[in-house]
Amino acid sequence: MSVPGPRDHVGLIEMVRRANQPLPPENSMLFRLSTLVAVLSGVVACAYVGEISALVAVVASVGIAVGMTFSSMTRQHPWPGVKLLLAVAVVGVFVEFVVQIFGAAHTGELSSIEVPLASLFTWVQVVHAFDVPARRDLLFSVAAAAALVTVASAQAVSVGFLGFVAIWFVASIVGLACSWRSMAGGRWRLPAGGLLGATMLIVTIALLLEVVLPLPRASQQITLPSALTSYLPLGTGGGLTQGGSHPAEPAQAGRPGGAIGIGGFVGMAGPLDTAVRASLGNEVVMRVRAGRPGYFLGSTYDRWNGQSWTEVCPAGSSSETLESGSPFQLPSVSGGAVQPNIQTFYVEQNLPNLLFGTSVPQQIYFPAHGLIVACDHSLRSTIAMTAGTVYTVVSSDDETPISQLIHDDRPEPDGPAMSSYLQLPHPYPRVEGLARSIVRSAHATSVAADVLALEGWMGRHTRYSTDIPPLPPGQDAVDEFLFGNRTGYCEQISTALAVMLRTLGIPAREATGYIPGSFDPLSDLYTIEAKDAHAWVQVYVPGHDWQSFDPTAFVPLAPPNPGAVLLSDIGHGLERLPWIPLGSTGFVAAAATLAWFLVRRRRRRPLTWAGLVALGLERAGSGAGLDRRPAETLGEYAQRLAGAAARNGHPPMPEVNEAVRVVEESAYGQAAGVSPPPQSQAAAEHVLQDLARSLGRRRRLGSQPS
Amino acid sequence: MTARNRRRPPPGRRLRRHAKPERYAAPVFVAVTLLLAWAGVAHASGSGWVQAVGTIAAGVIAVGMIGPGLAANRLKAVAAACPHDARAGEELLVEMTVKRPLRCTPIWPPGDRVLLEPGAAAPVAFRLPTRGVLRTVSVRLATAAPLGLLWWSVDQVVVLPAPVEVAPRTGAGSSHGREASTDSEGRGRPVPSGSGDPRGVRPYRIGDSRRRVHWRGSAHTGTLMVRESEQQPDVSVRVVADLPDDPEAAERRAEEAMGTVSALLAGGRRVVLETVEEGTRRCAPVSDRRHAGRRLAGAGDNPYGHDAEGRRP
Repeated sequence: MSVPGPRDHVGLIEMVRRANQPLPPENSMLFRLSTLVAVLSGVVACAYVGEISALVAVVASVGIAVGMTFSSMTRQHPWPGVKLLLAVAVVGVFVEFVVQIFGAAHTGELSSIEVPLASLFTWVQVVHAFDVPARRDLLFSVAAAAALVTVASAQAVSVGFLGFVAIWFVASIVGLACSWRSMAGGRWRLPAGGLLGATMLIVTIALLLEVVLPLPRASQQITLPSALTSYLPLGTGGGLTQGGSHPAEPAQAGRPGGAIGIGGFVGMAGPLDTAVRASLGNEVVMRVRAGRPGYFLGSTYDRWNGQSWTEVCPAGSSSETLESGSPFQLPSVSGGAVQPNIQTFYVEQNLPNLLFGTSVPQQIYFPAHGLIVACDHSLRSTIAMTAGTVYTVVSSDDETPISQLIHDDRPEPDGPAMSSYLQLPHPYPRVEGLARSIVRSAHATSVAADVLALEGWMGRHTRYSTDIPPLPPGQDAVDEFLFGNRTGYCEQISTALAVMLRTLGIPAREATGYIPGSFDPLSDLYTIEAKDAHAWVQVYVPGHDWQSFDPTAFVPLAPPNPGAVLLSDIGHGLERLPWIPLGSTGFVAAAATLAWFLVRRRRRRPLTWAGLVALGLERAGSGAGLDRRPAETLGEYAQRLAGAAARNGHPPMPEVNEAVRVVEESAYGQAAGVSPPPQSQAAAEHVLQDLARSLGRRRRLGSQPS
Repeated sequence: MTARNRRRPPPGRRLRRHAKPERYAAPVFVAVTLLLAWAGVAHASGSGWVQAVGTIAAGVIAVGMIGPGLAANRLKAVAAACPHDARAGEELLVEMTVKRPLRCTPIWPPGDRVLLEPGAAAPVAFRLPTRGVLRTVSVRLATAAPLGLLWWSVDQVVVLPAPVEVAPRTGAGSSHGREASTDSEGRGRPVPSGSGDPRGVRPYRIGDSRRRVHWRGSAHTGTLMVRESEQQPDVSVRVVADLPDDPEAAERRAEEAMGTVSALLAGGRRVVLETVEEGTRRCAPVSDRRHAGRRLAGAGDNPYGHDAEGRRP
């Protein structure tokens, strides 16, 4: 087979002509099939992450499959007008893309370039599928499939996306290998071992690069991700909504034993009732991509009534509604210029209309027309925060290092009115006395030093446990925690610190939100589960605004009750098990095992009367400790058993010989396989049952063969 | 046959002992651009999945572009069969076998590239530019396995199963040769059937022309008989092929000698060819053109006595 030699130097027109001249048709069906799988995996991946709708994905997949089939059937003689039609179609698709981009940009709803790009790539693939007669065309499809998967991966947030990547990767490798085979003649079989080795090498290289390369960080120079799956306006006037199954319902106060907020934490939807005892689950609430993970603040509370925290706007402050559209610029409340911290939140469940973010938010990318900034500077959406919502918060992260705070004893400036953050429902003389004694003994000279001293004391004298008794009616939660069992979780611990600080005249408020959950290195996302809900304290430090302190971090775990912990763990473990698939699998396995056992038993069971009688005699002997020897005939064995019976004091049994003869005659005689007359059967069985009985156990020596 | 193909391989041209990529600029540029684009998208989106997919793509590109280099160093082609005789200016087909699919490009003697697959032997055509004795050929073996993203090649000297004696082209020949085979107007003369007075018949001896076979006498006696004349019909012509050191001049001289010998043999003359083969002067009759070609192939300096680098194997 001869192939063209080196290309001579040719002009541009000749190069274009050569580039467009018909190429040899590609006849490898495996190449075409792997290319189709790679492209379809990209299309479905785009649909999986929500960049194209399911309907578009189905239509595009069918179109691509039909186009590939058409191309395969006409590869020897491509239809002359197809290229022109496809060119027109591609131009149309591109015009649609441009219109989509400019239209979205004009209305300010362009949340991400990936969505129109995914649509463009998908339809280009559909059009291109009708004209892939040659190897070069198929390679273009393989490359375009990579582009589709890349566009989809820009929005991927879950580990489930790995399945699409794996399918695309394997299909692409097979496609490239087929391409090489086509280049080199195309008649030999693909070397499976070599391909497997290459695949392993590629995966190894990818893993090494993944380990070595720093994780990407979103650039603020472009539009940051934000998206909605539904547009459900809220009529709460800026109040909090319930979340959960009723994402637009106004928040209800949590009560013991009653409905609670998402994941069992009331603090995200309404007043924070420290008397509520709830077990937080493992359901994924959000996934967060954050440059610098921190405490994702949801809301703060300033009014304490001895049991619950509520939010009451301080005098002179009110909520503010921003209607500038995404991105929303927030008024800066901190003076320092710090590096922005970009956090993108992917909402997995219906949540209250709170927007989370590390403090202090500066810029919000949220695809709504309005955004409410509450008086405590928490952010609230004007539309329901349903599953699938994506928003990005750019925070300034002006947390001052504790080492600086502790030596920064500044006088209180003429700052905001702090009276509401010093509010107490009633005097706390014991709490105040305790706090003052702690601060005094620590020789604290600054606000931060006071906080650290109190945190240190709580770390030494209180314990963390979610398994605490209910709050007695009428009892103050702080008194109960500090002077009662001194055991609680983040709500009790942080509330106690806030109240102690207020008794010292230090403005403090309760803050709730989420801590970063487990980190997924593939998606570069923190997975926040319901159990990651947290409460901490924000303290107003003169000159440094509100600073967060987490006393729970100092508190050690309460000595566990092993039994209770074990039962709790077992309960949680059983609760998490996927019972439906497990039960189905177990049922099938049990049924299969039972069937196997029955079949095995049936196969091993003798089919003749003689075999059954012999088996009964062997079982009787075995029960008496006299197993039948391998070379022992039934007659010899029966004699041995009769001898043993005689030694036990049983009279001699000469009739055993006749019974055994009947059995052996039935098994090995002239009429082998034929049962003897019923009378003979009954007599033999009777004799041998007597023999078995004489051995100490009763055995039923015979029954009708099955 | 162009003058370019008749030239010897350029002096100092070195064979590739280790694999080298072919036309790598464009693929490398595209690969780097793609990876940079991937990194840009990952940075712009801040998505770890984009980076993960990009690392897979980087792995594919790395294996696809470097893997053939490792595979190329293990390529090997074996010459399974080739003819014993050939003629300068014509193609020599060498049957080659390989264990892996590859692209084979003849370097010396030059030829067209072919794709070889494992299994059955496939012919590789070498264009023979000059006469000589060919014992080895140089080929460039290339592969893009396993993904076909970049070709890597390595050169190999393939030992032929038997030396190929390449006869020179048939030149115009000397004036003596022309005189012996044509008349004064250049037309072909009738073949002489013998001259002198007939003397009788005698048994055939090796070297007798078959034209002198006396069929009737042979049938009568039962053995092959030839006519015998009073005097020899013809005398042997001695052709001296002294080839100069200059390769081009030697080639022209060999072609001329080949033309002369061919013309004499066609005219029924006995030819004694005198050559210098491997430093030894040899004077012996040649029976036909193939024989003459073999003698002239081995005369003088062997143009194929070195590989593409100019070294003798």
